[in-house]
Amino acid sequence: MVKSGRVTKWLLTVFVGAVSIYLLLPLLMIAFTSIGSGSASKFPPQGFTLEWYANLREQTQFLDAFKNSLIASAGAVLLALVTGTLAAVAIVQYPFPGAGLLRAFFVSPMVMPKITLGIAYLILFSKMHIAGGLFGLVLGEAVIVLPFILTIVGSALANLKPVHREAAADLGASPWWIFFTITLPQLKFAMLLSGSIAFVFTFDQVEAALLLLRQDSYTLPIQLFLYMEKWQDPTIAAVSVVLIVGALALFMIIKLVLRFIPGLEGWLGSRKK
Amino acid sequence: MSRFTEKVVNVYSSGNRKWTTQLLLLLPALLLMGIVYLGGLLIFGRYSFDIYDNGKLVRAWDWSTYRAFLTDPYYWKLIGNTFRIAFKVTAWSLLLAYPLAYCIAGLKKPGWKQFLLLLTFLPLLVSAVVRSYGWQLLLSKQGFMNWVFIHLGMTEEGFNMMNNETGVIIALVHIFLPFMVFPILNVLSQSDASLKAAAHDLGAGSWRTFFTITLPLSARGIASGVQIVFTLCLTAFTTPQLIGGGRVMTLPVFIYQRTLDTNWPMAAVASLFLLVSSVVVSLLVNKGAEWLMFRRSREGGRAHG
Repeated sequence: MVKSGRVTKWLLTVFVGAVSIYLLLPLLMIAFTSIGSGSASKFPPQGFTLEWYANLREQTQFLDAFKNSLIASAGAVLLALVTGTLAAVAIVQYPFPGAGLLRAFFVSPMVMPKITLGIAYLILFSKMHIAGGLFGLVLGEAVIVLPFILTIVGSALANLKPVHREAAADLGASPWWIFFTITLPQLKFAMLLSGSIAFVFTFDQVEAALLLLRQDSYTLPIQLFLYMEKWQDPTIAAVSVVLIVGALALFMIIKLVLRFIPGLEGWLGSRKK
Repeated sequence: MSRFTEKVVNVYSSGNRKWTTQLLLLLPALLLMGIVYLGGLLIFGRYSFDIYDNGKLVRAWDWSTYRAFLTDPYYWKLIGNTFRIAFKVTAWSLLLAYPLAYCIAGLKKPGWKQFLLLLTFLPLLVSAVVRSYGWQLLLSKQGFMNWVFIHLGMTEEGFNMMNNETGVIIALVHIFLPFMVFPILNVLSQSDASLKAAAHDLGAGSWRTFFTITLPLSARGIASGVQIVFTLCLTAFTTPQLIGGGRVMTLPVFIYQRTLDTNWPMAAVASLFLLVSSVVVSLLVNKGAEWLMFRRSREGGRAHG
């Protein structure tokens, strides 16, 4: 019995090792290609070079696209945070007939095929004369991430105890004053969490933006997508490595910040003014 | 009191003030969702009744595009393709994700656990375009995978894995795997370890414990993983387009191509079909999981009685 358990465990370890390799392989391959010379799609490369990284300095379109991505994602997340949090307060704290239905409507972009939304935006924004720019994209992406905000902030709101609010109301505070001084500080963590998820999600959005944008307002995924369809050189591998390293660095920084500033979690949690 | 004064009093009563507060709170979201989302979808949906005639759009109220989509075998093949790919990707993800989640949940050393978690969720931080690019490099005719296969003597000139279904499935499983691992890991780490210990004490071997205790307890996680991955797969566009190179036709790729050649009626009909099928699939998976769990609990009750 013990022996069969050990065999199972060993098999499981091998299997998980194989899955780990499968998960890492594309990223390692990109890193490897970015320092190879010659055609990107041929293995093994003819030699090693750093020219693709040196070339990046001339490829300013990727940096511009990165800036566009930052602007569009930040705008969309902020818009969704404001509208979503207000709507969540209305739905959770002041329930009304049809609230469930309205919530379902607000969450429905989650199941909507993004490519469909992309076409719908293209048609609508052309009629409104805002197609092609980042403003339209911000509006469109805000719709797509609203469900994240609404569900996460909504469940945080539902878990809040009404004691503090009732106490403030008994002391004569108006509903708006209560919202800004009591409810909002209690929602800090939920808003930060849903905002980060929404940001990562919009930053990588291809389908909704692909049809919508003009050349000078391409976001990074779109620029990469179109470059990939046209060219086959390792420039894109070099850009990808920069992105992967950036993502890893961000992840580590967040981890370090959370570990070395113990007060931060308390601040994010439930500090009240 | 006359009806008018009653109304005036009502406006200033607290119940009504609550109502205006509510409306003010909801207004920004209603505007955004009403104009951008619903407005856009309705205008796009209206195109489904237009007629596309050799590159020209004719405004009409006509069902011909719907009829063409639902009767032409070409479109049925397209729908079948989309569902087959989604089904295969979901099955493979489940097969790879379950042992991974099981292993992570069972690990006691925090170092290894952190490492495996990072490994599983790191790909989520990397753009799907970049990951598709990685697979393009790996799967191409002269790429790394074929280099390995040729050196292992499995093939003479390499397998064709780009621009076909195999490549799309391999890459899609990679992209959606975290969405399958997470819900399963969630239920596995919440489930009660004492149940497993009890089964063991009562003489059940590790396989029997797994099939009678662990697997049924994780049904809910499996169901939500399947639901998420299947829906994401049905509507996936980036990877099928980049890895399939336009030769693997799924509904989203088809919609994109019809939009490019301004056949908006067909794009609208196909979009509608895609939306309905992804909603129906999530509802079915949900109901299926509930039914399974309900049946189990009934059987459990009978066994005790």
